[in-house]
Amino acid sequence: MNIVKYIVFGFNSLILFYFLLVCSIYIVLNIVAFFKMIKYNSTIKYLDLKRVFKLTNYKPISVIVPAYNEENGIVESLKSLLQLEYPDFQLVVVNDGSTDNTLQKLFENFSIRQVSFTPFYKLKSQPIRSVFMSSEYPNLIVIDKVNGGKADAINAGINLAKSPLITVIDADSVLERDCLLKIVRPFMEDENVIAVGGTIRIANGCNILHGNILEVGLAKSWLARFQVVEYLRAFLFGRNGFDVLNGILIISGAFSCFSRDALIAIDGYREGCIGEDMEIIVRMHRKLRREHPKLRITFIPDPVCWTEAPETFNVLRSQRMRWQKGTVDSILLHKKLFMNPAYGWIGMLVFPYFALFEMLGPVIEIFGYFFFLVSFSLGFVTVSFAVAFLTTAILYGVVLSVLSVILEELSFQRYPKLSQLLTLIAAAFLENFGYRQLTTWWRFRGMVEYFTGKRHWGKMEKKGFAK
Amino acid sequence: MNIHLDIFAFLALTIFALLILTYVLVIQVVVLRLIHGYQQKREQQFYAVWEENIFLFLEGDDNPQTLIKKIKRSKYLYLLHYLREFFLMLKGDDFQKLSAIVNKTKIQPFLISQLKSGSPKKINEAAYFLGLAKSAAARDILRKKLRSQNASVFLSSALALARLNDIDAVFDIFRNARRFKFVSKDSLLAIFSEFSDGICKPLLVNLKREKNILIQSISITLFRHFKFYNAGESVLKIMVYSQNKEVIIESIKFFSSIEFIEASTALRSLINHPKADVRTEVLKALAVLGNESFEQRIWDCMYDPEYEVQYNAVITLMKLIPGSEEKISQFAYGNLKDRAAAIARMVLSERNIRS
Repeated sequence: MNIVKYIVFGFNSLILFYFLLVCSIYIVLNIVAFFKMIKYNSTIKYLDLKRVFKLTNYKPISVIVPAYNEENGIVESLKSLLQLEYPDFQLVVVNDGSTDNTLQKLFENFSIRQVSFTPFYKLKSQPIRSVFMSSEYPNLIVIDKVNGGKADAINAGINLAKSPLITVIDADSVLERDCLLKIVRPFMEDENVIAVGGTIRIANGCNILHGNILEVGLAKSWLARFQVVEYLRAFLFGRNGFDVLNGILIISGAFSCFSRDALIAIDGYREGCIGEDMEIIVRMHRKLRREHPKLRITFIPDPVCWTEAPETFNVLRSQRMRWQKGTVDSILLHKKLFMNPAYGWIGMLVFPYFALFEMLGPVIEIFGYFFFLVSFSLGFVTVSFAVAFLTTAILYGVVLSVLSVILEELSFQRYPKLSQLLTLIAAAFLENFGYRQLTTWWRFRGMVEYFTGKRHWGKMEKKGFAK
Repeated sequence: MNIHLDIFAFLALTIFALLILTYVLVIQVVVLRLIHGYQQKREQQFYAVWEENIFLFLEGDDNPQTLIKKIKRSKYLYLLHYLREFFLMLKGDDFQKLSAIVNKTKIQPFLISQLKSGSPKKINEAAYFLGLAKSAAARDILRKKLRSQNASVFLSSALALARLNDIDAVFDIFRNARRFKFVSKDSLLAIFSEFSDGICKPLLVNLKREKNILIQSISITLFRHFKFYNAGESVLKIMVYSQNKEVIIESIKFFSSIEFIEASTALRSLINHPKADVRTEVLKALAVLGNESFEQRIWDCMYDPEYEVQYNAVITLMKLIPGSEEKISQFAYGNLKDRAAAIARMVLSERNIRS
């Protein structure tokens, strides 16, 4: 019995240590993000973005939009994208072998005609069937290719993109009109920048017309509201914090911008990858930054893109399991980075953080709950202790969530009404009672499925923005 | 058991601290929002009252001091924020009238006192508006601020001096910019483009002895921006001897923009430059500066290993040589397996759609 007691006590201590470590890291990230946001805001406040580009020193951008079965929203999305504020950009839509009328819709609405084509680069992708150009919109190109998945479609787009900067977005993303002006700024300020990510926000509850946000609002469902707080936490302090160490390991696939040369140098996106948005960034660190440590992968905290969050448990489960599989996949593919001093902060701190807390976090947490229950049932832990520990964990989660709402309040204040702010604070409390545990369980299942060979994407249904 | 108790005590303390922290944070968020809401309300009230007054002032001949007398010092920044877009848009007499609101009233000493403060936020704000209003009185302080250790103070002061068109400060800006790691060429260009074309003369004098590649490159870009033809000869000499890709590319773009035919012979030798971006830029310039004697060299470029060079070779041929489209068409459709011909077909079909 004593041995069992020591094992259980040892494991509980380990969990407690793990808990304290992760808390300390989050606090440090929060402090760093806080100062970065203040500095960023003072810089951006008096910057006349449009005047910066009057010297024609801007870098042209190719915006790649992979589209698979997007017949419902593709026309609205493209009309909105064609109105983006930027002096020189090309829109490359890749129809990834859609089985619906996506291509037909493009024919009907954009006067596209077939052109002769030759891929400029040789990134691996499924065969391109045809390339079309619009006589109405000279900067619109449509590529029709055999289905190969998102990474494959982006590679096909890069092969035909003419600009030195490549922005990749999701076909159903709603972009801020000046997002390209904002995302290109780090490339202009620092010649060493090879990739930039922006903040993604939840569009559920917003008033959207023709692909433009008319009024920012909060969703009616608590499930979507919890995700608003989650996104604030992930983007405002997670990525901001790591950015200070040049340690961004993931840029959201919904909106990212890359130097084309960097993408070509690493042979583009990896085909068949589950979490292509994380994998490509990790690979950039691994392949490019080792030889050129000055290269930077950075992040701007401005909200540049709005996306639809799942509002049903089934779809959310599928999304979270896929994200977890993507994280595991990227970390295992690039395990050489782990505690490797040759990669600096990335190897010694950021990658181990992702491996221990993002990848293994759900496993440790689930085992923690299990051992806690065992300890409790064997009488090793008193009721008061159990309650105290759980209360601490939950309160700590609340503090972190409220901190991210404060960061939002100090910076962008995109939720203008006081009632919206109070709802966000309520969501920051409530998400710790069930929602977080549920997402941890889904992430755990995602890992189990990954290691048992079920590595497919899963189905991701979206309602779409009806207006 | 003792360890257990210690951990329990620790957890209890942590809970207590977290509860207080959560409470403080929530109160802070709400207070922040209330303060912000109050400020916005005051701003809106101010605009509602002053919008008409300001428009009447811009239309009439009133003394700006009469207008400003009615505004409390604490609301000067509201007024400046309101006028920001007008400062950026208006020109000529309208701009003069607008700048008088800052330069001939108590707003100027207010902003100068902000500029002298120790807070980077206040300094940046003051420098921004003093620059927008072209307040010459702030010139000396702004020059001192160029030596600040804070990059944002340096940048906002440099921008203000550029808007004041203080050409004597140009080389001070260059010198001080070197101290900062993250002040890039593009940031400096954005600042220098705010000067008038009077900046070109001192830059040209300096360029003849300048060895710094960044300054060479920025100077040439600015010559292009202001279409400063007089710099043609000097830039040509620099381009011929330069080993730096940036400087060469900027020079080519400059020649193209001022149609400096004298550079065409030098461009001919750069057509085989090892860097593809240079070859591409040469081809683009030849479309403007070249003549029929370049035809064969440009045809050769269609077999370049880089697609950008091939693509631009086809476009340059079509622009430079009258009637070349038919010849290119024959080449494009007579060699179906040839990559150069495929690129030519692509250019032709794109052109077809656009026309």
